[in-house]
Amino acid sequence: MSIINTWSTSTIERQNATFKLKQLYELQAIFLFDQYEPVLANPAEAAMSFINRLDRWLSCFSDPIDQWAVFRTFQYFFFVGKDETDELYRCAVNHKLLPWLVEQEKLDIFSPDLSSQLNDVVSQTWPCPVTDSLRINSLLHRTNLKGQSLRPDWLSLKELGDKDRIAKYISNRKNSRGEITPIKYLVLFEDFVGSGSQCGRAAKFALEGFDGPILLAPLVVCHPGDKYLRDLASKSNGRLTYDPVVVLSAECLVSEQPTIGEPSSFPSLRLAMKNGHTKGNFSDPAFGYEGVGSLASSYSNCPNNSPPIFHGVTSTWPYPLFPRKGRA
Amino acid sequence: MSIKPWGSIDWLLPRTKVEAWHLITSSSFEERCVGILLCSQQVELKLTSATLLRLTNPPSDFWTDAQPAINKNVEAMHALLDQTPFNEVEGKLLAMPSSLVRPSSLNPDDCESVILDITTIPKRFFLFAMQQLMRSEKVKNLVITYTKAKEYPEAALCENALPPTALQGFARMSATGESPRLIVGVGYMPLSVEELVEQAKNVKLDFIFPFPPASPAFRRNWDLLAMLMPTDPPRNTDIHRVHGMDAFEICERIKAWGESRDVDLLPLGPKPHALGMAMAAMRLDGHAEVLYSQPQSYRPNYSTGIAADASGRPQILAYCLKLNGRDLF
Amino acid sequence: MVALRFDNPFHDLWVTEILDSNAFVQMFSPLLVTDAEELFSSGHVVVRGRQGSGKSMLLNLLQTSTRVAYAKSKTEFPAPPKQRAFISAGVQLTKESASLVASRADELPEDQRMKLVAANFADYLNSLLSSDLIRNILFLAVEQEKNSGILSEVNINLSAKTQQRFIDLLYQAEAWNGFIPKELQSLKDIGTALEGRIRSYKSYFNFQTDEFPRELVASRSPAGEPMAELAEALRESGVMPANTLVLLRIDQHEELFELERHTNLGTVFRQVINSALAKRDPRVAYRIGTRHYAWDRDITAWGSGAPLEAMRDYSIIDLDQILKRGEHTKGWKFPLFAADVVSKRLDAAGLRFQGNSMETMFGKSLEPADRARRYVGDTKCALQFEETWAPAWKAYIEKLWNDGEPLEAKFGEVWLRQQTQVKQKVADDETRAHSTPWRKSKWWVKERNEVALMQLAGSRQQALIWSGERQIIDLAGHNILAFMTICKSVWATWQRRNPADAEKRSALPNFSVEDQVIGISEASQIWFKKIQVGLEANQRTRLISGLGQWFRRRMLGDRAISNPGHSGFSLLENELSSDHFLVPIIKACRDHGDLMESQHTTKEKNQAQRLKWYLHPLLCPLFRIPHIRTKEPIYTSLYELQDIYNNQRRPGPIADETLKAESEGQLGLPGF
Repeated sequence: MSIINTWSTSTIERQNATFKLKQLYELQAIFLFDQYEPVLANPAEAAMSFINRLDRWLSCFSDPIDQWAVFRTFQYFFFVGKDETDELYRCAVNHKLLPWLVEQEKLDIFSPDLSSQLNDVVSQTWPCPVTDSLRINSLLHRTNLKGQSLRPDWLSLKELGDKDRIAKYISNRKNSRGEITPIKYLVLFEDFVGSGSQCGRAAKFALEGFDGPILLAPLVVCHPGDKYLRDLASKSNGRLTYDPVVVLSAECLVSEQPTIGEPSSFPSLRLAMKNGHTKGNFSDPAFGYEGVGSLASSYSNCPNNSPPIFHGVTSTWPYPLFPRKGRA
Repeated sequence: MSIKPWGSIDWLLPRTKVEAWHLITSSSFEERCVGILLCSQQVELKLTSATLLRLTNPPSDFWTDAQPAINKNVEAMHALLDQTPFNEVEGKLLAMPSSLVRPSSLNPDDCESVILDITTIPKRFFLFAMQQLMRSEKVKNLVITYTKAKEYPEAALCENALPPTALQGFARMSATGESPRLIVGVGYMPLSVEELVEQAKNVKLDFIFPFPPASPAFRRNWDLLAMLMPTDPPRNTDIHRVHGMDAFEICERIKAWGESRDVDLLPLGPKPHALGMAMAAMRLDGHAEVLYSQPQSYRPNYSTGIAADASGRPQILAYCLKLNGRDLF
Repeated sequence: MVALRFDNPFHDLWVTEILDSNAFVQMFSPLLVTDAEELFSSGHVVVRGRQGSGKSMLLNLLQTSTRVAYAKSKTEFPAPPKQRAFISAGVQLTKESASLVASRADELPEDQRMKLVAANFADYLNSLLSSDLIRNILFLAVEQEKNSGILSEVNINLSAKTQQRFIDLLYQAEAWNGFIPKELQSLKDIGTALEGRIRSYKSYFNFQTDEFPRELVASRSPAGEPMAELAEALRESGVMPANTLVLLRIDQHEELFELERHTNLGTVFRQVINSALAKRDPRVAYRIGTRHYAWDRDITAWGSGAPLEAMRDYSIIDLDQILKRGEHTKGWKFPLFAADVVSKRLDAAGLRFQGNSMETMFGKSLEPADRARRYVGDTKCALQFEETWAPAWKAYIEKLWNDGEPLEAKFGEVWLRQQTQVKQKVADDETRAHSTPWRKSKWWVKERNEVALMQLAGSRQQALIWSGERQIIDLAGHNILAFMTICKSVWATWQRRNPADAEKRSALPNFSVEDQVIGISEASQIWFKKIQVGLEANQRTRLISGLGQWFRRRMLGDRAISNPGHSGFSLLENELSSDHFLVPIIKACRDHGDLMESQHTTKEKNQAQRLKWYLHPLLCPLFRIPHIRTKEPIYTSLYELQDIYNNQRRPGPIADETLKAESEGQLGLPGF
């Protein structure tokens, strides 16, 4: 722990700031960062304490000023752990899906029959993921939401799906008594939305492939994606309702240009990112895919919208903080 | 599958089918204290009467600085109340809640339908008031409302918290003998609870973390946790993430935990969480205790502005606790 | 890696404080008891000590569950053999919500308010203590049935005949008339009835009912009477042996101060308790646990107006006094206590060792000259010389530095600045530039070691070095919790820096100086953090931060080191009786252990009484000031301190905005 230790014994201000941040990160490591799956998959890496891995990552930056800048701004990094994800699932269902269904069916929330009415509606609802990174089975299990027999991700459906066959599945759906009760509602969940382009493609396809009302309820959305999807929904003639669970605030994003009200340490972070990007020679752009610049990760994987200094590995950048599992 | 009766005020209130309400609210230096009255102008919220709670804090620099804002807000509230008859209840911040917030003063005309707006009423008072209104047979319909703030400054929000004591009306009635489990609702300020937490970690210590929303709340809540977390948390310390506005979920979870063991509840977090804790305590047969350390002074810019939804309207949440005489939790 | 954390033998600092009786037996050090034997005697005792002083540990020793744990583990119970015939009951004032009883005071008529609240509180206390005593008797009976022979000094007899005799006696007692329903048949029934009484109180004060239960009004007694009569009945009937002492514990007495302050009922609660003590009833003895020094004030017994006389009515076990270092180091208890605690911890962790475990782990403290060398490293002489000084002096001093004696060089520079030398123009005289003249008086150097080192370290923005057994003990400030915090932090640092060695766990670790410097720095931060989340956090934090920075500024700026003792301050004693807003804050800091207070024999001619204060030693690493006290502290006034207090910014969380104040030489609030 050489770099962080040096700060612990330098000036008083540095010492105190280091202690507070280190204490914070160590606590978050126990309850959040240690869940990071790509690290857990590698026993040698998993055996290192998070704070030691953080220290090692800092050593990738050449300039001590950059090292301090990223150490200090790491407190703005938003990490979605397992418990966060579970709660996001619950909120997506209880705060977004069910009220939406109540609205659609004009149910009385104070009626003693509400529960059975809702169950009926839910049985005609089709919960699906937008991409395969949303673990739809986990969502269904954790929330006790009954799904349909098939739970295709609509991004894949867009490429491989056949609209006729989809329509047939929708109309032929049978209830528990064997009666034909077509699917009335489609709800799309997604774990993380960056720029919104991927999600948007799937949603557009859904609007074509499904006749009824659609609810798009992503769990975590970055600002650019939020704007994009809100726009998409407003142009759908009321067919698409967009209702995200969490929209990340500006302090979880580092944009290329400074924005008003951003944390005062962000300019030094920006510089550190640029320097790091140069040193690491990453193929991804400095501010992440589509320049989103999200300071966020989930326990399952770090999105490529986050700057590559956090997740990239190259010959000149051997130690990522949250190494990423990519797609080919 | 079911949903609990809470949500945005314009979603919930019409569904209650109650025509008119008596409103209990308070004036404050916080801008959002006028939120509910602003709302009453815009939405289907008809008021028959109102009670305005006006609390005075102990003397401090902060309190002096807050006076202009308080006066401005009181004026605005009077203006918004317009023709609606209202009474004012004045008292001190450190007074015993029972001396101020009994149904006789809060609901002097024994109205059947009551909205208790907890936005700027201190926790000690609104939790006691909620309990009294729930127990009152005269009140058949009870809705709690809460207006969200736009933002909170990055600074200490309050100071000089008194040592933690049991909230009036929420003390433990009977103990099972086993040491209680301490459940701390995380917020932004530590409020003198260090020893309580240090001692509790020998038993079982749980934290309730208001999530969602995400940052800046997320970051600041972790800051507080880092401050509060004892230097060696016991192996079974859990951090439960629960949506910051979901009072009913808090109530359900705590009721479940409280079935097998006495619980001590420490609501340092958002008011809806405090509400949920109090609701659960009321259903745990006297085995639960709600503790709180009352701050003696608050920063005048404790919060700024009123949070607005996508269409620019104030974000006000409403929780229906009683309808047509039936308790809903 | 999470698993390592639990391999720290100092993990779980509080295990001896309250709950696990078996762990208590393993970890409790009987050394604490040898100077506290009045704890088991028949008079009243007030046990006074800060958080982490061992006060709760000591009171826990009286608990029946603890005694049973000792008996079962066949460990010698630390009380003298002839004083083990006692049984104890107790109440913790916060847990039992003493505040409850005050809660409906405003509903009482104003002229009767104090009297009625006092009566309610006395009765509530009587019920709680009587109920707990019976609970303890029943518990012990059950345990004795399961394991015959344990606590044979307090053999409980619950035969039908004995219980009947007991009940008959009890019903005859005045205070018990109406206190419990008639015609109860057993101790257990009485216990249940008492619990019902307590519940009635709670029900009313918790607003479950609006009517004050009338049966309570009729059957109230002054504080202490029911317990005394209960004790007598238990002895006379033979339920417990005739010589059994009954000890009644009331802990967290300081809570009553807070309660009184906010309910505006004067000192009503404390007086209720004092009245119980003032009865000097030989049938029961009280054990009062408190954090406050203020026990001596306001001890007017309720109703009688007679003050409790010290030593006649109660004796005091002051843990801070017991563990504090006296005039002479010999006979200082704390190091022995600390060493014993360490042994027990290491033992429990399964680590074998020979000899002095502390010395093995922490080594010997570094000599000042060695510390100086570490501070300066390889740097060239960075001392500042006056232009007028003779070149020979500069050359001599530089040579000392370059020859590996930077501390000597520093002393040289400082010595030349001293008044005497300036008057004699020594620095101009190159013939005197040799053979360390500052060492002529052995005291001169000794008094200035720490500040000289501090200035050397300060010029390179370095943390100060503390290491070695002796310094670790010193930094603990005779507080066992502070001591264990240091051990834990250092161990954890060593684990992180030596993961391979930590895995092996074969022998005791040898902490390097770096392990200790970093570990102590963290322990200091943790100790300061406790203030920020504790009671009266804002005021304490502001005052301590202000003082720490003030001491540092003064010592760093004292180039001639004329005042090596300015790591503390002194006030006239009569200033403390004034109304000044800082007085309660200073007292709060003292009561919580942030400041260490002692008498100050003034050097001034007027001989006015003074008191002096220093920061708790474990706060010194944070502020980078020496913990050693020498010579005179800063003579100051409340007026001057007020300035220092007011100039402190209000503390806040670690957000970006507050980190802006980070620049060289700018001393911002620590941590914020």
